[in-house]
Amino acid sequence: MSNEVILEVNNLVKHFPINEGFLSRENKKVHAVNGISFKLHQGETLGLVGESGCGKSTAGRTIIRLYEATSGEAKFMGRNIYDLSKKEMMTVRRDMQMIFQDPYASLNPRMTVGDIIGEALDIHHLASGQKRTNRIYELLETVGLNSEHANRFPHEFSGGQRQRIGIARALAVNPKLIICDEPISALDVSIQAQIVNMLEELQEQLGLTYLFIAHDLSMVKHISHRIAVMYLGRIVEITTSQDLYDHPMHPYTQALLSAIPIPDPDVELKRSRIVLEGGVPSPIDPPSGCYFRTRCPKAQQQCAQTTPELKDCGNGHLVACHLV
Amino acid sequence: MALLEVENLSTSFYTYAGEVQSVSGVSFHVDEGEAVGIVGESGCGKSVTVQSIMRLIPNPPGKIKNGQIRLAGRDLVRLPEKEMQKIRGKEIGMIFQDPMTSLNPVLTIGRQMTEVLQHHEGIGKNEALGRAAKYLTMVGISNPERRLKQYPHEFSGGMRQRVMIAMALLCNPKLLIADEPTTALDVTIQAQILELMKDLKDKVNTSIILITHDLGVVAGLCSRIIVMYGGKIVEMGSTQDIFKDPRHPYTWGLLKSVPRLDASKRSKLVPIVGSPPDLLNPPKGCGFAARCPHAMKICETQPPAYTDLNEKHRAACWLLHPDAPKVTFNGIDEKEARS
Repeated sequence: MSNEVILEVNNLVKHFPINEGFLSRENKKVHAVNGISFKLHQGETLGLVGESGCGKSTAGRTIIRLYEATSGEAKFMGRNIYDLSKKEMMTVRRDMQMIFQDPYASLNPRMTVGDIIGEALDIHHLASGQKRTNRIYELLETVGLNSEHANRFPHEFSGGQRQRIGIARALAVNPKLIICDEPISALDVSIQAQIVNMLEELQEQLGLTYLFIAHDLSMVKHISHRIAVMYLGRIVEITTSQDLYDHPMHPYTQALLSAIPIPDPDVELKRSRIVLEGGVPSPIDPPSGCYFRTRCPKAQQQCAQTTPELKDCGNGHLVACHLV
Repeated sequence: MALLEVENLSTSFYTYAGEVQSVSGVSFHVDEGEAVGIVGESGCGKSVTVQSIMRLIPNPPGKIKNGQIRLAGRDLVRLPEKEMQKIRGKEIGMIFQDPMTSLNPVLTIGRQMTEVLQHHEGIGKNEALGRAAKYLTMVGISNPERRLKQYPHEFSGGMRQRVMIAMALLCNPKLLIADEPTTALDVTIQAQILELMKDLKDKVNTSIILITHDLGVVAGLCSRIIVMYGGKIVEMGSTQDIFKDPRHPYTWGLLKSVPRLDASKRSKLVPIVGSPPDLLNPPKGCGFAARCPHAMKICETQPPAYTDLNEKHRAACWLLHPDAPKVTFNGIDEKEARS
């Protein structure tokens, strides 16, 4: 891991309009991502965690420009990607790839595995003919499949194998950054470990940088160097993964950590759990001030009035809470 | 005393490709007021086992081939459908995995909840609504009178799962079967639901069968655990036995392949290589032999018998045979994870 910043996200906002009523006027917006900022260093894994609907997937998709940002910037190797033309974006996409959550839906059922992986090579004119075939075989072997698999179709593979194909596709263009959007949540536990180990090995071999989006905090803690916790479209805490577990400072992080069951009956028996009341408020009409205040056991008056900014509490441990 | 005894249960599905032996020769029991967890990967037969207990296996293509399921002494397998209807919802309550699809979207919550009561207990509509409201309060839903008039889409996922739990408990069943009740929910909501189930077990003395693939969930709630693989029980024992002294290589694999939140060292996960067996042509010997790092010759040809390790703890593995080499579970040992 070096100190070189590969991706810098500044105040990224993504709102989705809801069209309704007469002449489809825009009346309301879904506040999916509400001004997030973070830096990602070369060779690092940053985990992005949060409950469903907190905007973590939207953040990932906006960063790779599958969605246009409402405002804010994402600087990839120094250039703001939202300023780039379509053509320039093509070259950036070669360095920035994505692995999707659902290995059943993210592979075209009518294409062979060889063509799925080869498509990326064709689009970016990276290889053709025998070179293309060899590169596909090489990629399949990198992800633990073999060259015979190139002529098969996605339905002939299990979930774990399909996720491997998705990873091979992402690796085809030799990317620097891979955005992993819940790459393991659709897989069985024993298979999850296979994929996570492979991602870790690939990172070591190829010097990849990961933005790892997931809701399973124990897996995220395992794979990430640093973790950002999101709640309703905002980052509430960001620090190294061990520090996050040892000294969680935001009340939401504390509750989230205490809610995760640990596979050990002795530990489970002794643990005290912070059980949050109710559910996540609607992102269409988020609460004023701190978004978490409606469920926060420590909420005070000022939490409803002003929005807490991310503050550095030492050693790069950033927390957005009035009470720390 | 045993409330539910399952003996040598085998359930198969007859498809064009052949017979899929989803569950073969499963025996276990559930005591009164006890919570038992069934863990295993998808396709290991855990859901089919409980669906057999509820007699919810669609026939055709499915069929309970063999075995007995005794609820307080009565064999459910041989019960006529009419009698079975009196048991479902009344004596055994069930919570399904997906709270989004297991409620009828066009009926109010009140209508769906009172249906159970009117059917089983023959009480009037108003009385039934009163009781439904009481149970909604019990599972932590405020303003129950208003909520009863609402439709499922007006509830969030966690709230719907609460409604499902309230509904399953309405007739005070002796046994509650929860088939992955928290898989579709967020962790903070999962914590709420698990606290609720723990409370109910202590207050109402309901027996619980909890199906899950999350070992952390069973560690907190269940006193006994059944580990299933390839349609068979490979190991069962008290929660302490399974977590502290597991004896089957599959259980070892499961424990080693999940990262622990409280582990301080960044240790490598140990995955289980390969994928689960094809139950259309189940392997002749031990179902786990193909993925087992300790497999021996005999594992591929003969299925292992159960070895009783203590009163509650038993495992089916050739390694437990007196002549087998001594292999022990190591790696996720507590001391090591902490140091």
